[in-house]
Amino acid sequence: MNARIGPAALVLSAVTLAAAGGAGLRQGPPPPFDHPQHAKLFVSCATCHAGATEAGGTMMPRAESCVSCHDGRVEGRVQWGPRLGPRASNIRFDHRRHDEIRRARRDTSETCADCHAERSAPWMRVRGPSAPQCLSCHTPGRTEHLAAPDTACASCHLPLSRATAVPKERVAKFPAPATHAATGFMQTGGHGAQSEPTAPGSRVAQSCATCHARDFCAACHVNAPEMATIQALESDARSLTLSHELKAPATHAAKDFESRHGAQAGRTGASCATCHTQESCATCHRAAAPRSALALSPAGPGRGIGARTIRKPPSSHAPGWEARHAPFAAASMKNCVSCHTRDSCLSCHRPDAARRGSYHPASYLTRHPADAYSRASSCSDCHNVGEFCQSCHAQAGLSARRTLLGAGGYHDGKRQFFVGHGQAARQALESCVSCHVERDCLTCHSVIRGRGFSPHGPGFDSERMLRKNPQLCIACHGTAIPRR
Amino acid sequence: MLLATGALGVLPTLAPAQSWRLRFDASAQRVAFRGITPDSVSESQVITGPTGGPVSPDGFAVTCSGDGFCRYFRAGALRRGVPASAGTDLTLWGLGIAGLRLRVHARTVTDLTGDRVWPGTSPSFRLVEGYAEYAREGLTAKLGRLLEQSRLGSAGAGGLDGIHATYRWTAPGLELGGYAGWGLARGTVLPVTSPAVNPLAEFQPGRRQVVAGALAGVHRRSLDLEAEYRREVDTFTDYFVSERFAVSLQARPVHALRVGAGADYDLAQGLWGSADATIAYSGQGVWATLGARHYRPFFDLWTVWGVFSPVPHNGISGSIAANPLSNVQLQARAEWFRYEDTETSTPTVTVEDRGWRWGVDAAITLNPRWRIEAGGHRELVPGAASGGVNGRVTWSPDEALKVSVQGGSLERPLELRFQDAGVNWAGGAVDYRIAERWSAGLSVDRYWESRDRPDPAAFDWNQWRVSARVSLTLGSAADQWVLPPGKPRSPTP
Repeated sequence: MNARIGPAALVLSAVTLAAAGGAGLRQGPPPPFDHPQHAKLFVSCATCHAGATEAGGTMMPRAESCVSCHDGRVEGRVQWGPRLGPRASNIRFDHRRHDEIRRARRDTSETCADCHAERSAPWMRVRGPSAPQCLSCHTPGRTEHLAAPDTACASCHLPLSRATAVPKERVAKFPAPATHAATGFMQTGGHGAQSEPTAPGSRVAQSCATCHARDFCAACHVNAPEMATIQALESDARSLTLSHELKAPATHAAKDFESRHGAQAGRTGASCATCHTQESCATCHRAAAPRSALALSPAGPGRGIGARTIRKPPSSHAPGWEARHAPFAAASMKNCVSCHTRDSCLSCHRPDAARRGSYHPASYLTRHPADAYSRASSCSDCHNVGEFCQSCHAQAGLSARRTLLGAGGYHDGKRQFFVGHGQAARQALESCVSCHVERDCLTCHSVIRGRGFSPHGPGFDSERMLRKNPQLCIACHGTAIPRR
Repeated sequence: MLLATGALGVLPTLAPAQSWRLRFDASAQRVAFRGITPDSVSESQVITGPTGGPVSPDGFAVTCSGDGFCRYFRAGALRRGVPASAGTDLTLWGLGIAGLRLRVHARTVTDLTGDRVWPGTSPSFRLVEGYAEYAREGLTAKLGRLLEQSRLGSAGAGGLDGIHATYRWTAPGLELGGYAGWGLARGTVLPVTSPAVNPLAEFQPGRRQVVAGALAGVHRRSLDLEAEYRREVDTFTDYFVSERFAVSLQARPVHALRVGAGADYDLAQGLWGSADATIAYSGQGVWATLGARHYRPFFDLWTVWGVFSPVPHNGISGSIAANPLSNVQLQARAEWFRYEDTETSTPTVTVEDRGWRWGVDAAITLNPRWRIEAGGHRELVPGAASGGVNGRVTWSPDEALKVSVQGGSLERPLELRFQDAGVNWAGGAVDYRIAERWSAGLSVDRYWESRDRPDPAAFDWNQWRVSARVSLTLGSAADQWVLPPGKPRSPTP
């Protein structure tokens, strides 16, 4: 940090923090009512909380009732007021309903302290009720809160979407049941099976709805719109505060996953549909989407982003692969088109005259004779000898436009090359024809128009050639084609 | 250019049910090359040069052929060209028939200097591919201008105007197919009757050849095997232009090991053509290949070149690449080969009958922004040799921009011509992704090239080479684009 700016920034930060703190003190909620402090004043809970048992009564006293003592003379004034709006809780509890049930049972033993205080606690040392206390009645024999059966959750809890007053910070701290850490919970038959409804008339497990909403599920399940249990949940953005890291299944870490995932996906891609949309496949499969990819849902509103796939070359595509791919591509073009479009091939195999070459290195125009003489790669895979080689050589004066005699002297690296060119010609005939035309050679090698020097060498099958295309024979021999 | 503009105008009016993808690109570069110009002097004017050989009065080494004239080559003019092209690649689907797709890839190309000195600039319009494809269940059928990409496809006729159909039985992994139509010339999208493929005004067929072929393939998890038969017939004479058979194999016997092999047989000449086999290993940070190659040139039977009996050469090659450190990549490759016996008796002239080549490259990624690459190669083959070094430094401040500077040096002596060529070059390039579907690039290089020999025929042709390109992709479907980054964790609102 700049030395001049540093102190000023520190001072500014301190002022800002102080201002924010002051504002927080002024605007924060009033302190809770100190029950033990008032233990000697009240002898009955109903004095202030008559609504718990009486119809028409209020659950909280009015603030004015405090002023009878806290008037600034007898006692200091206090900032207190009854809670406004819904309770910031997802507890589903009706005091009067419970009191009615108690009355119906003629149960006179239960008191407020049974739920709101520890056993043998002093008068008015109150606390909130605990889950085991609820469970002791609602699920006899099972008092572990987060192990309660699915149907028990809704007895005490509202679905998250209806507990609107619970701030997202508290949602983020909702405790996770032990089942969520169990092996296989995230796999098929895990949380999906547990999300099936158990209560009559319900479309999703109530235990899920207690803490989760549709948004949470849809963050991973890109097929959420097609899943009835997820659609049964209400939407609530607070559910996204419950973070879950999406991990790839173990199958994805296999060394040969790249080559096997197509078979694993099958035709329907059902096993992939949870985390992947069509876009996951299209990251690599850009030319033609496999059938299983088309069976997946396309990305769109209402769906999560799902798993991210990264386009990278397969392990076989080592550095320099472009120079060695030919035998593999020839045997299995379908493997190539999984990821490559036609452009990938044609950018080299049908080069653009106006584009700087990418396959060949810079300065290749100068270097190319060494590669072309011995065909380091097959030039004619991408270049037409006439259109490319001959036309360029002709522009550079490298063509025998008249006769061999007219172009004599070019191959001056070898004395008497003209009379001893046979070996070079048979070794690099493709290079010869990039400058020479047939009539150059037929000047000597034709029987009817030249001197009859036979050009035929190893492997020449005259009978076969005669059968396949006698025009070749006629070009030099005329109609008097010699027979073996 | 007009084609692209027209396509852009028409696309918005397409029926809303259609889906489409259009890539438009345009490129231009300024290039120059320099050749030679034949000249001659009367034999009576020739004098003896300082090394004892015949030279012209102005010092050019000459070759006298006994007809009263001695010939030599002066430096040619520096020819400059500005080839420019615009291309469109349009794919339409969702046409109301499931599995139907239309594709057109066309290109206009010209030389802005008007001289068309650069190869591949005439004719101006080229339909690279244009076909309707119907794919349903195991059937795939295409009709139109097609480019075959198979062992005989890219090395053989390569393309046709016709039909191609295959049927694949998924369970046994069996595929059968065939194609028929009018063929294109090798290595281009032009028919063999096009003047562009006959710049030297040599014999040329008057009609396009008919091409037909059959395909059979077996595709299993660890094995791909394809066989292809192809024949081409001159429709004017009804004689063969070619008749060939090829087989290709790719096997993955164990994880990390891959075998690729193939061969073609020339039924018309009764000779094995080219064949090769490669074993490739892909390990943890190490890749290696070992291969053998038998290469024999192939000529159509409408030329006489095949009867001149070009001999094949046989070679072995290997390569290895490794990442010794996570940010360091090294690779090396080498090949050795030897020609088969040419059965020629030329005691006055001998040429090399074997050759070798090797190359090494290294790349270091200093950090996500900086990358340094360097390499060198050397090859000594019959006819020519070359050796040189090159290097490049790339700076990528973000994913959209890439700036690089490069340079190198190369020597290239020839065996059959008395001339040593050398070139040094340096330059820079900028690639910029303007938006997700827009990209552009510009490169400028300076070349210092010389053709050295000890007489006035030596010359230089230094030049600036400038290249520019722009590419735009449009489309109606999201499944063809670079995806937004996914979020492995649930977002916090």
